[in-house]
Amino acid sequence: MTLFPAWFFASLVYGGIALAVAGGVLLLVLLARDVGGRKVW
Amino acid sequence: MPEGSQVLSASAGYILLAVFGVMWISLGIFWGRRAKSLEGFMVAGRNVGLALGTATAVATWITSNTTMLAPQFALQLGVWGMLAYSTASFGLFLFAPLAKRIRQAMPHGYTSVEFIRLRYGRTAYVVFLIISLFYGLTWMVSMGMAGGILLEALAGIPYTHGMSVLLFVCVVYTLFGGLFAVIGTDFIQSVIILAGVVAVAVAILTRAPLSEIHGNLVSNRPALLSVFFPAAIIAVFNNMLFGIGEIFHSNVWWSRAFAMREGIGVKAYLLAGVVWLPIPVVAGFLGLAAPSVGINVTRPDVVGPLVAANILGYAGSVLVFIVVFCSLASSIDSLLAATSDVVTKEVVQPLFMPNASDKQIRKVASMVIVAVGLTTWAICLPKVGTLATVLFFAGPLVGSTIWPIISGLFWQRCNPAGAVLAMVLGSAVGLIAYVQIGWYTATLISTAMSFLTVIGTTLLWPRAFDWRSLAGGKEAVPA
Repeated sequence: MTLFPAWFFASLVYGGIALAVAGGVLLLVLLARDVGGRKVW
Repeated sequence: MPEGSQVLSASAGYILLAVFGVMWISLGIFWGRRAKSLEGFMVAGRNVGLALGTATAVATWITSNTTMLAPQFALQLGVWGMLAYSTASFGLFLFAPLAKRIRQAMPHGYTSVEFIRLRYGRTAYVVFLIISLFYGLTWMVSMGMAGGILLEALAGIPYTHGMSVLLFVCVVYTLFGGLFAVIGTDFIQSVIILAGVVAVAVAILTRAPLSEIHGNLVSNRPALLSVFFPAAIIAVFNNMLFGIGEIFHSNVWWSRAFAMREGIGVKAYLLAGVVWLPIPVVAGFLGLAAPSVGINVTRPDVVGPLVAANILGYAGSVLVFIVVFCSLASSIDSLLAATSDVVTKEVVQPLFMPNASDKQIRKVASMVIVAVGLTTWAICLPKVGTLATVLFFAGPLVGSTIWPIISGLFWQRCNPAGAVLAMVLGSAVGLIAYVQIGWYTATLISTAMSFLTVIGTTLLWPRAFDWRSLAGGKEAVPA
């Protein structure tokens, strides 16, 4: 049975966590930008 | 979860429900000041910016399934299970160009059903309306039931109480604030969910290094790391198409396309796909890590909360409860608003009050939200445990709408008869596949059939369509 190697598994998990953190930060930055530019809605 | 093994006490659960319930309702009332007109109530004034536009797509697409079922999926289908779940983000990516086209073609539009009526006529409208309402109500009922079951499992709150409070809170703030309240609360909910899921995953990594978790899987559950897992690989494509079908046809996503400011839709849906993509991977990781942190999984559907409670203790339990509550509320409120818009604008108005003013329709919209909420509550009450199966049943139905929608938006020559035939034949063949072969092939086959029908009928009987009739509200020639 061919298995996903440890490096692939690590990339998936660490990459997922990093992307989720980046996503949360991105939302807050976008909100700050929209609030500053009075473009929230 | 066996009696007495909840991760949180019932009193703590009620306090959290009360705190967040009051918070969402207060925000709904606050934002509701903007929702006096029909346009404000149904499409948030058509001026939503990038931050709220992105967050609302992310939060709505994170259902309780994403946070609770993804660990179970990973525990059963391994790494492919995590990846299969993540492919649901493709629906968001691919909807981006559609959102732009929708906003341009229908600057005064309200619902996806309205598009089908104007583009393809009455027969297609009836078929699409049935699919749309069946899917919307099924999704909403499944979320309401999931809410009751999860709150009971997490904190021992009786099913009827948890489900009723959840639906009540969502109905009240949607009633007061319309899409303004839905989109505003979605932003807060998406940030809370992202923070919660990341906190739990990081806590696990401090307890058990990744090399140890991988080694554990190699020794004890190698199938979960298998590169060739045929059923899981088919599930990747089926899930992807189910997700695309859900997003392309549902008014939940169309109403957001109408609500976003001109030029925002493409960016918002692309960014939402990127932000949503890692959530099933991170949540799924909780399932794969469970054995390495010494948790004996007796109920795979609550493996996520068990891991969180075990690693983070009481704080972890509170966090999971909040994440689950936010996941449920962010989807239920969107479904309530979108389904009520369809019922108000495409059923009540044409049948009973064709000459009503926007002010009158705005009042009716509020009544419809209450009616839809009550209907959902009544269906949820008996706690029929088979609705997840019914929701999967909707897969081939929504899959059959993908090509009539894409071609309807971009291909001037496709005709009403072809769209009707594509939805009917696609649904029929997909449902046969669901019963005869398996759920994981149904949407795939339905979408393929729908595609061939649309292409074939358009090439055989091309028919010019005047795009201006979408903007002006003039109905297309009936099929």
